[in-house]
Amino acid sequence: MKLLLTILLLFITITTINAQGCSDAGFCSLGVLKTKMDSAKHTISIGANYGAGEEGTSTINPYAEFSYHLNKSWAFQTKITATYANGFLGNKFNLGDVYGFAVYSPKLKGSNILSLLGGVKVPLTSANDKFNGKPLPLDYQSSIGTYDVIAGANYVINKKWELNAGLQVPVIQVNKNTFFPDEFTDARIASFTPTNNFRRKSDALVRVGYYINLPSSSITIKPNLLAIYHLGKDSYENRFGKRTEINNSDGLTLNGGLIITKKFRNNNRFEIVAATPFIVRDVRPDGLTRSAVINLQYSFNF
Amino acid sequence: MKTFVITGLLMVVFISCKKESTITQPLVETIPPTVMVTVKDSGNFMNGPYGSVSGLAKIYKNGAKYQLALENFRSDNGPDLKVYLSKEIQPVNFVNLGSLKSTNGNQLYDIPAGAVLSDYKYALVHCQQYNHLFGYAALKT
Repeated sequence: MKLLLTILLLFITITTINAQGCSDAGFCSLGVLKTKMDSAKHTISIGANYGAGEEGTSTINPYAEFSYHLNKSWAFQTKITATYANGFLGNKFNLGDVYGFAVYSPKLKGSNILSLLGGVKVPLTSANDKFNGKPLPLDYQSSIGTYDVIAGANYVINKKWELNAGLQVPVIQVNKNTFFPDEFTDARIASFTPTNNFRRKSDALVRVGYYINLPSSSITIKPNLLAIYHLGKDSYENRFGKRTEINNSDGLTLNGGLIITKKFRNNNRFEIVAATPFIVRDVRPDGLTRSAVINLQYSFNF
Repeated sequence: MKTFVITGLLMVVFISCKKESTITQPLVETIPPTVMVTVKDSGNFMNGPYGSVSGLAKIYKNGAKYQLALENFRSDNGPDLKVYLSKEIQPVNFVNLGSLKSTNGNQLYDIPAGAVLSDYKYALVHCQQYNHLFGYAALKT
């Protein structure tokens, strides 16, 4: 337990020193793209993460996740998210997105485990929440208003190494955000990009993790390195109604993360995730960038 | 179950359509008379198909910039009301001047540099999210 606390405190210190962060539209924390699945027939997980964003904006994202194993090969997972955002522009709470996806785990020889994931993300808002009548930037929005197709794979080698790969493609964009920074007078607004009728490009993800098991305490620690590549420049509609590309909004985000899992005798699990970036995109209009993320989750297996 | 789902969806649609976001507190934004120079046109607001709007729209030159002034203005509230200068009553070619500041009072909107004012014959109050016209003023000399 002492080791666990030491690692956690060390990580919190690191994350508060560095700036900017884990930057994707949700799939880096999604099911098997985050970590391997429990083997229980049903799993209900509830959790919340705290993220520190641009110019003192902070977000709390509660979520609930349900997994159901149809048989040894097939499982179904679903997740619903919400966001409370607070910062110098105001505060807002709203539902975020619903995810639904299938997981296929083919039988492999040896102890390696492969899981393939395919699914969708459905937005529950059009990303146009306001505070005191003024449109808020995407940093304050609970969803970025895109219907996405998500595909990915999780491969665990010798119960030690874990590799993830994923792709998240916005296929229908219903983002109705109307934020222009020049409608605000606070100087800090200069850090935000216009996102009027924002259109987002796809992300690709690769993660490498390593399991450190502490059998005496039923704790598993998984340090991991997560690369997310934003595959194109996002765009918005300018004051004249013309679509405008946002320069430098594409590119690489490289994050370091730590997932600590405590498994209880009743098979339930408690999980702490901490992450921070080392490399970020120059411009991050989607508001998904966090300088630090801490996530707590409790899973009921039955 | 089916009834429950349909009722739920209808409630979501109803709530989202009725969401009113513009503040209603009367504004008193005016250009000081010393710098007030009318350079273009003005016109009274008429109701659009989705709302009632009244008052006067006027374009001024204030120093180096142009501004649209809404005077004695009053509008129905809506979920995503914007002020446009537009070439048409239903906006296709337009300049988005920003979110409607209030449903009441006198208010000013900066017109972006580069807008050719003679091209825009209408001032609009338009719900951007649902593409609903609330009101328009034909700008004339």
